[in-house]
Amino acid sequence: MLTEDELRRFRAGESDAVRAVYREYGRLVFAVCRNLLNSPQLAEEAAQQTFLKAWRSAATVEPGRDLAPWLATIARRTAIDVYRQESRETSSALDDVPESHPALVQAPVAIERTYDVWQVRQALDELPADERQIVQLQHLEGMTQTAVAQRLNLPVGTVKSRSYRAHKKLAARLGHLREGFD
Amino acid sequence: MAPDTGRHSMDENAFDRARINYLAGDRDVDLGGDVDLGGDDRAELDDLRALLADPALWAEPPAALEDSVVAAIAAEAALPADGRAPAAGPDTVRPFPFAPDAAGNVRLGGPTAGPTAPAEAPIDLAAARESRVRRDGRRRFTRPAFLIAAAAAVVAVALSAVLLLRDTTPQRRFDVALSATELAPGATGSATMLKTDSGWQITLEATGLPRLDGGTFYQAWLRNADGVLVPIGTFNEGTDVTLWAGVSPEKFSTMTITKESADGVQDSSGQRVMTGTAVED
Repeated sequence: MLTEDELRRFRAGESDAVRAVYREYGRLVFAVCRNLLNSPQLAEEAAQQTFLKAWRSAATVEPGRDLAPWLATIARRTAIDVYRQESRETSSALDDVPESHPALVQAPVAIERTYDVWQVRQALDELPADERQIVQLQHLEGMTQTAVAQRLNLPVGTVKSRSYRAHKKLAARLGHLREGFD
Repeated sequence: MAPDTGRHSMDENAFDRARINYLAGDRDVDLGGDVDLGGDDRAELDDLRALLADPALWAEPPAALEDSVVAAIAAEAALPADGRAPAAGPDTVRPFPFAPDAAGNVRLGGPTAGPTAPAEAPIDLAAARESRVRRDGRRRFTRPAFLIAAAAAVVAVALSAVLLLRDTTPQRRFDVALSATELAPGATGSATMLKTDSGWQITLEATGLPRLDGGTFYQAWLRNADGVLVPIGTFNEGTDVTLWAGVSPEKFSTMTITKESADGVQDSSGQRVMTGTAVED
């Protein structure tokens, strides 16, 4: 959350205040945009536009308010706008374009999914780096704990305990995703 | 072994461990035969595992994005207040402020934009993107070496195009803040109405409306001062809904959403769940 002074400086466009907001929420905003748009370039554009729109509307933000839900909503709407514009641009002969083409986008998803992405990304960022690395290897790369231990040159027991700690935190932090965004 | 009298009578530590290990999804881990997570728990953890396996979740923003965000904001902050783009609320869709072409597409570059490629011809998407970038007269992304000047030039070109087009083809817009009735307590929403050649395009976003299906649905209406109702579309849930109206919100300024059934009765059921008044932007 921003203090009154930080919010005032953000509204004024002061670069250090803008950077502070970006560093707090940039990864989360990008995760939302990337989740909605297949193209990293379009996600980058949507993320940039999100912060610009947030700055334009900063006068409506109350000091002390958590910006996360507000930014997540702006990010989602902005990514959908980018998606719609790209859909209009590429509405012809899509059958001739391979699915992996970077210019293609995926359809917008439900707003609940946007908040889920935000919260999971935030929970991952809160993990210590060593635990987060193991979670990434296990889930993103589908590795077993034994394989992770070999990759990281760590004892299997160390990997097991770090994995357990990390997933315990994630389960506790994210166990109520279906209940909505706080 | 003690009889299984239900989840709350089980060893909570064993159950928690089973959830944690299931979430980790490790084939090397023995879950144990005495712990049954149940369908709901597995479904919830499967959703979370699916998210954790999504490459998009782990994608890091480009290092240059921070500088480009700072530069974009600094460039606009340096403009006089009347030269800046208007603020956009988080729950309204604000498209690019250019009039649509004859095909209904909105393109940067205004009247000098090239024609849309014929539908039967294959499109080289990479070339189309480069062509549009050249037509736009701006780059999509700024880079550190030319951030301030490039961003200012981008904004100046975009604003010039906006002013030019607004002089010749203004696009009207109405906003609606929707309030819930006692039939949908806790629901909130908003709608944006844009004038196009095809009619009024309405984008609705509402949360807290339970999904209706299986022959029941929501229907949106516009109503004038005389109580005349015009239907503008039906939908199942309030997320990212697009509706169309052939009447102007200037005259039909009240928007309502009702619960309906596919029973052959065309009139409104009267079961209003949300209502609001269109206000011109």
